[in-house]
Amino acid sequence: MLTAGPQRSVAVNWRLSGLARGLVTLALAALALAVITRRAEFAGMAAPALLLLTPRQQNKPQSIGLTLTVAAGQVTETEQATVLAKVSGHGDATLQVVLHPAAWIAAGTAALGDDGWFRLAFRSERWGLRAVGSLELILRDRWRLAEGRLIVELPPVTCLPLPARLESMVVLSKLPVRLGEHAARATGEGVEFAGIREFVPGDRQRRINWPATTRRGTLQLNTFAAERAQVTVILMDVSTDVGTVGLSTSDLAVRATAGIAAAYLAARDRVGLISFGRQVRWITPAPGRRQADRIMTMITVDHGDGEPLSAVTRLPGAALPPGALIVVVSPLLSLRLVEALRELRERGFATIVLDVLCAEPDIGSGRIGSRDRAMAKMARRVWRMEQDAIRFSLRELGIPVTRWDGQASLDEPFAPYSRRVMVNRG
Amino acid sequence: MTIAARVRPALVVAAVEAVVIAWAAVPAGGARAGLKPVLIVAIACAFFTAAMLLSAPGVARIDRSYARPDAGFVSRTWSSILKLPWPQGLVVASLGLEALHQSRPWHSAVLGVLMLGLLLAVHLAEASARPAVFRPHLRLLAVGVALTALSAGAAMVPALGATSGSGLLAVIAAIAAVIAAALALPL
Repeated sequence: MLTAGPQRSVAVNWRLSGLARGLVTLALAALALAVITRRAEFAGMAAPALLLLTPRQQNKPQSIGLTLTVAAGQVTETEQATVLAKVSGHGDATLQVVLHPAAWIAAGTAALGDDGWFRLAFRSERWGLRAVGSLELILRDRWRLAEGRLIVELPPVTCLPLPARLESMVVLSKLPVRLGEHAARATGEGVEFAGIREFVPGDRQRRINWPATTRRGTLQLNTFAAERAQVTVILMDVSTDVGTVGLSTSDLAVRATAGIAAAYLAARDRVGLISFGRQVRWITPAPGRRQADRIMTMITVDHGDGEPLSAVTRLPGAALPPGALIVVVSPLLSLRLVEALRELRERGFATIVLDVLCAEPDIGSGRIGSRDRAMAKMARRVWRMEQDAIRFSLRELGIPVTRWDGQASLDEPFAPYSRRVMVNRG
Repeated sequence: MTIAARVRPALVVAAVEAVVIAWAAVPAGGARAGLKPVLIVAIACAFFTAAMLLSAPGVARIDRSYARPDAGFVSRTWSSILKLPWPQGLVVASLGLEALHQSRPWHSAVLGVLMLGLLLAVHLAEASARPAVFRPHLRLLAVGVALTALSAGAAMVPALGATSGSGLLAVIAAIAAVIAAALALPL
């Protein structure tokens, strides 16, 4: 097994090809039958196979040069990427390149470019640090009687989750005094019209509203809403993972988190992340593209560098600046998280929960007695009631809970809260 | 590799396999005992050959359920089965089917050509290659088919079957002719 890197020389072990083995089998079996049955026609059947086995190519290459690289170290779910391979020194031997994909990798077609590089397309079907698989090189001589095989292990790629679509954002009524793109209630230097007031010396003359001035008889001035940046902290709960793999609660949580972070960062907001998984890990809020990369890396790869969940008694204060909007993406199966949400509300944070629970306990479809089935149904009903109670208690505390199925845009669950500003205590 | 690019050569191989088995087995009535088990073996070999060609890499292994301990065993067993030399098994079984019938030289000669075509088709499917890769083999193939026809013609000459030793003599002569032709060819 080799790894990706610069060109290196690789030894080739030649052996009989599948075609040669088939021809040998045909020739030997036919000749044996000819002798056993004393029928000359069987010996004749062996003739073409024997003739095809006679040629020998002497100058087969004993080693080849191989250069291997993956075009992109980072891909997004369902995005096509390419493995590049260049082979030299194989003489007139024909070369076949086959990609053996690892789990959750779909291999595309291999194409030889004019520049001599083989391009093997592949697609990762699920987020995470993914092994691409292995590359098999098969060399065949001119007569297709000998073949040499090499297997090269490909480097893993980081597959980022496909961000859920979000266009309309939840905005708080009181925003911190930072220049941004959200129209605040306070007047300022924005572009969104806020109202009219009387002119005072020092005001810009270009903002005088002449029709209102004519009506009222005194100089009237247009005022505009201040444009502020919001601080948004996403609390991603991946402490439990239930449901079908690929569409599980963790899958939905990371895709929603990626979508929310991307949307708010695109609006020049400061976005932070608290990952509530095996450990509690966090990134303090910041704006910009580098923050987006940091968040996507934390979502995708778990380096195990956080605080163990059992050792954490409350959410980290450094990651929760005052006045921040807390968007919780969770299946609400962790009672520890539910307690943390209650505490957040007590501390005055505006919190909204995106419920990504998409599975129920499986009571099975096998043959069980009617009494057991009734008990299983009863247990599931109790579980549903518990879940309803958790959500009800959060709503009673003033924490809205909205459900996302993983298929639709995030605008749909956030619609009731994005139409108007969300009131916070500030 | 697209699905169509993998399925089309496998379908061609399956069609050639069907023709080979049918040609070697028919007529079932005139054959000696033991035709049925050999026929079953041949059909099994043909099935696994096609399955082996269809199971080429390139498709994502997407398991939407959580890992089950038996799932790995089943897939490992299946891939181990597919690694067996099924095309060679089919060749031997087809020859066995032909040997169970009475002597019919021209029929055997056609079967020989069909089996050669089958081996070449399997190789094309395995290597994802075009038939043009066999251009250097054309002369050898032509000579080989001619020798097959010659041996079939020799076996059909009534005088060769007159005595008990003449059959063995004919076989030895045919083998000698093949070896001589192979050695004589300037390659």
